[in-house]
Amino acid sequence: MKKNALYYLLVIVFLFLLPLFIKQQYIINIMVLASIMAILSVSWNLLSGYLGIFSFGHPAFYGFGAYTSALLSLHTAFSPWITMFIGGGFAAFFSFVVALPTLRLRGPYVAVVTLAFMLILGQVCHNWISLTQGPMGLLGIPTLTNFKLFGKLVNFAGISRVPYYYVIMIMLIITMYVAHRIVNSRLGLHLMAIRESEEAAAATGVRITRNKIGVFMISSFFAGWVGAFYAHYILILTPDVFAFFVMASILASTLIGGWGTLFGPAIGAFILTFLIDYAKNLGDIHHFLYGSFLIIAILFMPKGVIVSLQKSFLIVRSRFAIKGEK
Amino acid sequence: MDTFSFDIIAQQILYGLLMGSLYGLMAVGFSLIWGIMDMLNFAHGEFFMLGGYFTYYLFSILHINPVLSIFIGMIMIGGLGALIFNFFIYPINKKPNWLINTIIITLGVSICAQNLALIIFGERYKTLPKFIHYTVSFWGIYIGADRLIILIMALLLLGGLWLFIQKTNIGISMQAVGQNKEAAQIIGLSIKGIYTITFAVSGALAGAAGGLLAPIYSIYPSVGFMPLLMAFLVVILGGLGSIKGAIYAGFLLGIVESLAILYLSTAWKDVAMFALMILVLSFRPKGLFGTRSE
Amino acid sequence: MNILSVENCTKNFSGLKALNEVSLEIEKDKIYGLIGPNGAGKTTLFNVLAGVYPPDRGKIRFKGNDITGVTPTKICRMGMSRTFQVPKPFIELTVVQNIMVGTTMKSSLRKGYGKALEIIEFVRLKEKTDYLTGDLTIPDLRKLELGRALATEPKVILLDEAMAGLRPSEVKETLSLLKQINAGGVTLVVIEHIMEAVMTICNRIAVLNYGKKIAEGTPDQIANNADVISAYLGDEYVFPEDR
Repeated sequence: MKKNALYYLLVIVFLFLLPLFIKQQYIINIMVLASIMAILSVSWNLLSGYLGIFSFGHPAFYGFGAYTSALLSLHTAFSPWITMFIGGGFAAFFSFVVALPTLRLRGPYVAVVTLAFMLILGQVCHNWISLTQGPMGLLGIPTLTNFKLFGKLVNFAGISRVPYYYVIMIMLIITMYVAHRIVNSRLGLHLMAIRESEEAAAATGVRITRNKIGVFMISSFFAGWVGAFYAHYILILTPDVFAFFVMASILASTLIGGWGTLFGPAIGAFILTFLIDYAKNLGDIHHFLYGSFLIIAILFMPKGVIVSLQKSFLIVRSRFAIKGEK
Repeated sequence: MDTFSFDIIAQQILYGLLMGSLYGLMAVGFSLIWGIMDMLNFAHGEFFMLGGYFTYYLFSILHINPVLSIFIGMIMIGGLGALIFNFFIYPINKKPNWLINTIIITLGVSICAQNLALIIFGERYKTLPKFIHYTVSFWGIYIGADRLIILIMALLLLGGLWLFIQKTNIGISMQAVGQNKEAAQIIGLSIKGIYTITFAVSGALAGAAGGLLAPIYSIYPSVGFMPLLMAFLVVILGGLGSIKGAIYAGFLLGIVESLAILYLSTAWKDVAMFALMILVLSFRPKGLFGTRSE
Repeated sequence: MNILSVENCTKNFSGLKALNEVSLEIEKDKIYGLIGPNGAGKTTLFNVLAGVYPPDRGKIRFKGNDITGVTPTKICRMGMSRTFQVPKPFIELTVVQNIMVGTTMKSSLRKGYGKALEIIEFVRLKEKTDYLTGDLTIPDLRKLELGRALATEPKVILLDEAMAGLRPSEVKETLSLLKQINAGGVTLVVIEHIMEAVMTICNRIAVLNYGKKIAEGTPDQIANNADVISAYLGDEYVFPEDR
């Protein structure tokens, strides 16, 4: 346990020191995008890997948070720092609506219903031009508000992306921490129980509805929160945020990194983002490579998608083993 | 809400029936795979797209009679379906997490197929020229003869499929596998064989739909997206496990859509239909005519 | 005092009366048997008791409270747990994790772990503590079901054919466990087909046939009851003096 904590600390220190020796904005940008994808993938995995609910809704919450924050910061006096959280909150609230029909449905039907929500939201965004500018794009989204830190100005409107980098890193650490706390708690155990057999879980006293809705909302909050960040980073929004592409990226990240693990999707997100960026140099063929990767990953993974959450729960196990068994 | 004359409404309904028959073709194939193989085929729209392209090239390059083109295209796509099943679906048959795996792998196939089509066929829309310039009219409604032929062909295909499933040995075997895989194996049915046929038939129907639609709309690499969603919609409305349900729901949806185009704007019809799908699933998880909820 | 009572319950499935005005009273700290030919409605009754679906008519009372229509989760939390006729283990979890789902219902993870180990020891599954349940044999799965039912510290356990498929020595072992559980203040309701087991362990037995309760009484009374014999074996087997 102590060993793990040391590793995490090393990684965090490395990430925080990175901008000191990598000066190319290009790479910093990729790191930011990768972190966004990491947050998306980890939060999605809570719902689909641990709870077993395959949801296509994540891009919907991502986009919902993005547009909410962008519009609020444009039309009200709220600073983007605040609207980011509001975006996440609204996404969570919206996910409550999405979750309701899915409660009584199984497998393919949940996928279909969440897919429908994603499409509806994308279409609404596309059509409601007076609000969102539709495909022409919502422009002029404010950057995160500058502030003073130790007397120096942290400037989000300048050429350097480094301030954004640090913000997203902190967001990533928070996301990972929350996910870690959920997964390694009795909530995590109950989620997996629901995934394995909802009937048996109920018979064992697990609160099915409460847990499902709760995880839906937590997972969606992070999607919306990071979506909002994205809006204030890219400064332009189009309905593309609701596209299948986002979902495919989440899937690919999770596949690369390992389905049923806590950190896997995050690592996969980083690998994927760098790969995609490299592949873009190859021209239009990179989309094709994307698809082939999905196919190859499924064909050759030893158990298909590995839903083996033993490893993450091992932390709990070994902690008790050390404390002395009877 | 505008009011339209009877002629215009009837015209739209006829158009709706035409689109409905094609939705039915898409839906039946999708329903077969979902019902018999317990999976969602996200590459279904690409069968449609390829059917459209094959028909286009057979007709405009090789100058084969369009009706024949559609049939040849159908068979080729059917064969393609069998191949895709054999190389991508069957190998993961024994692994756990079947649903997730098949969703992802068919998504992968879909992306690859679309981009291959982009590379090979180019991004420009291909439109089949009209091959019959004749208009039929009855009861004050006008319909191009080519569209009438398309409607008739679609109906024939749907009817043929229904007979195939209900009356032939293979069709009944397919139903058996769908209802109880283990029991079907015990009585000697080859799961691989049935699955292959299912995929082939599903692909052929989608390919036919694509070929039939080619004269009306254009074909382009990502044309399969909407037909895929329509298939989802129709299957859910009509209920899983019911071929008849899929056919009826297809027509229903086609008419609802065409009337929605008339009374609402085109942009909002999709939202309306997806919302309808969510509502149906919320209150009747088995769909309107469904026999199974899983 | 009757800890569990079924009052005139009826349950229809598309016209088939799976339960037809069944009434039972189950005394606290007793072992109550529920027998009857296949399809008699025993599992249906359990499902109604456990909250899987409500009866179409009638009421269920648990500890004096009306629990008709309450969800399975709530009923478990109120103190009644059940096992399943076909075991439903949490496949991708280990044995101890399976039990922990129940022991952590109201306790922390650490306390739950400790309690789970105790239960695993009690049901004699200790060697398989860290095995994935997907790899377990039927006897082990039955023990797991029992362990999971115990995990939530229930006052009543509904056991649905907990001994089906076991060898005689395993049946004996299970009976001994059940007696110990009962001695510890847990009321048991047992569906079983193994007659020796039922007759040995139960204080009182009810017999269902075609959804109706056709007899109720002590094991001796049931063994000699004409209707029961007729239901299981047919009229020809009823001794004249028992009619």
